[in-house]
Amino acid sequence: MKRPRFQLATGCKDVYTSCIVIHYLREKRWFFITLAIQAAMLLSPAPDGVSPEGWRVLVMTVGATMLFITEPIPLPAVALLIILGQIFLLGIDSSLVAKSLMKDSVLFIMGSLMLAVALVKQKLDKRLALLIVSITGSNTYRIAFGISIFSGILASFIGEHTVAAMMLPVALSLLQLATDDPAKRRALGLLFLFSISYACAMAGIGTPSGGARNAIMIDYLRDFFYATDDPATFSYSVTYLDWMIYAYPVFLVQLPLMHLILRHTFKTDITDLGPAVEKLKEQVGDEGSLNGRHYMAILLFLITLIGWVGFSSEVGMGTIAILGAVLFLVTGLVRWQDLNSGVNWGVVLLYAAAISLGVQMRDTGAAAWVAGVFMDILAPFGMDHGIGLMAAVMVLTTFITNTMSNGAAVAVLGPIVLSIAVGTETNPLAVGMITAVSSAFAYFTVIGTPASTIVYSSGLLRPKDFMVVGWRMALMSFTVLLLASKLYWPLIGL
Amino acid sequence: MTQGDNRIRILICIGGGPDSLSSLKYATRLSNQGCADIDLLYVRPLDSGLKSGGMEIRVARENMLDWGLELPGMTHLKAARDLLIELGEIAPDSTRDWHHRELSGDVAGEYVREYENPCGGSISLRLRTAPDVTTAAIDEAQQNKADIIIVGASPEPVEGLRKLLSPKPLALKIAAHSPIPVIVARQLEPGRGHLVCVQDTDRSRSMLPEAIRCAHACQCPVSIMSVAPDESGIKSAQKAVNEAAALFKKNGIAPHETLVEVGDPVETIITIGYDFSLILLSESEKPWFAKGFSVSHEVAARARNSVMILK
Repeated sequence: MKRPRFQLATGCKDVYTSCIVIHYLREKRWFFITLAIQAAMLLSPAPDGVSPEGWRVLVMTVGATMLFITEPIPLPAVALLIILGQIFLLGIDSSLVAKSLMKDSVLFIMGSLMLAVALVKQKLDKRLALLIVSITGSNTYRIAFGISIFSGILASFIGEHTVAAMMLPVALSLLQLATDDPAKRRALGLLFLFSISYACAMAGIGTPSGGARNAIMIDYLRDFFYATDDPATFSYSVTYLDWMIYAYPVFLVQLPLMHLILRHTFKTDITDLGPAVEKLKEQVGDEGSLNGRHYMAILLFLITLIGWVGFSSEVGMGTIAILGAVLFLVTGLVRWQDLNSGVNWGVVLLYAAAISLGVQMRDTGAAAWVAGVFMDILAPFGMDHGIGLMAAVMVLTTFITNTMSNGAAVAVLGPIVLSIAVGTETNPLAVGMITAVSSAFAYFTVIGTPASTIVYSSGLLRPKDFMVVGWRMALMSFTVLLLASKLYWPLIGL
Repeated sequence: MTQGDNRIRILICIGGGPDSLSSLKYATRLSNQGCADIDLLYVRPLDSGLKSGGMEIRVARENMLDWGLELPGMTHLKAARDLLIELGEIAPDSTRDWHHRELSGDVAGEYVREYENPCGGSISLRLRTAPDVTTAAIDEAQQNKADIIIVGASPEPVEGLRKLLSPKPLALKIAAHSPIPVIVARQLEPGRGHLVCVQDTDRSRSMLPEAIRCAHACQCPVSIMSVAPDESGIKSAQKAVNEAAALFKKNGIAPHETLVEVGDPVETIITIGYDFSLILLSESEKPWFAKGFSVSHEVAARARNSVMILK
């Protein structure tokens, strides 16, 4: 006898129309909530001290920030909405809006993402794995520290997503070869994977090419304070080397402390990976030694690095990054198809729109108004100047960067913190550096930094793991950065 | 894929938790009685875009595949497959390749591997990426015309302040949004019978054929219970139990026992239902956003064993 199929719920019979509508509304709920909040803000009068244009920019910024965090619609759509908002809400000429989108930092983000994909495609990671284990030996903690050092140093120059993507299979291979026990493998995985993600995140502050956030802050500092005819403002045109001098020591101090925290937090029973290391050597050994293609890739990257260090102050970091990507394409080391599918172009557009909105925040006085509100909150606690202000900016940036990507956090916060610096007569360069550096303290969430997202994609980590170790890391990083801003930066004239 | 008219199609969401794996035994029991099609699904949230800093995670995934490593999710699905081999649903020597699927355009994210079980039903392992796991699971159930979704719940229900602060568990989200029956699985062992909870309402009566079909498929002992909130509701509760028992008997299943209780419906069902493999309840008539406050969804949230919400 033919049995009936299970019945569908009332309202979902025969067709799934109502269910589809419900699912659509559920998926897009944050979009509609954002629209409602924006409508309420637009309909209410602008607060005292902010112009109607500034208020509209703030409405757009609140909306964009909510959409960055909750992602109910594709991110490129957020970027396009920002562009449309500038034209229709602020009444800016479309050609001017288009012009404000493309800056050196955007070229840099585009070029460095292409370089990242090109470098991952060279498959140098297997040789890197061999190099690490040949230096560290088979002790588990020494390998973890070795992974941190290599990840950190590489990420400080070539960007954290590149290194995380290259090092992830190295760590996973070692885990797979080390044990079949899922619990032991996970314990080991926590140590290795966090060694990669936190080292990459911390290293991203080391040089301007370490991450998009640094390039964005350099652009803001130059846009807001640099004048070609005023030598007193020349320090706001931060060169590659300047940045390294300010930030690299902060990263180097954090690296061993990070390892100690991980070692203390994630203990593992497997203290020797001798057999796994031997198997890895066999596997990688089958690949043969470096060939001409590999040497060419290394050479091209070194040329790009020399360009960044030596010539970026004249031609721009973005130009050098694009040049590097073009060299990889021209030499045939990477195909355009790989770059096209590996780079999320929507994110490039998003950064461009966010920076453009940041400039509008400054021009309309919206950033100064928000900075004033922020200072009014801090003043009763005595945190509106000196080290207190630095700590407050650091905590604010850390909070924001844990809810969205660190590049977006700097793009949104940059104009506000620089206005705070002007309002309190604090050195904008120091406040800008504090913001850029503390945007790396996204230790609490999976989405905080690209490196964390990439290692999380292994499926071995749980969101809770980030919280367990994150507060220790944040405490250590806060202390190191505050000490650097109090003791080290004044020594070098920052 | 062709599907027999009588064959139940079960979608099991494999999220890595032990309860989704233990529910395989229950699915196998249904399969042994009625030759079910079983789909095992692992959904990973999309992780590209701003979160990955603009470099697609697929670059990292392709690198992992190049190293001969498995993509996340495949490991969980393979653990489920190994359990099905132990349970005799998949022949030990059968090997199948992963086939790429293009559902959301993620070239290194979506795969399927298909087997046949001894009675001719299909077993498929499905890997999928999606921005929202709940919607993807329901979409997968609809695409494959599943009759039941089984999703593992957290073994210990979240209570108190943590319940307010924590996001709603995935199993309860799927139960609230799915248009087809959902089993919120906790230690889902097939041997201890079904407790069918009924009321004197049209909604409750309309779910009885599904409960009967489920009992037939499982060949499990059935108890029928109705809970009256106070003494005045006993008559109505008794009527509901009698009607349900008569319908079960008419369809060839003699209920093991019938119970009429007085008290708080949620507490009573959770307490008495603990002795059963599965508590069956009808879907609430409330809209999706208010279902958390209905008896059926509160039982699903707070019970220490498995609950099936019939739609």
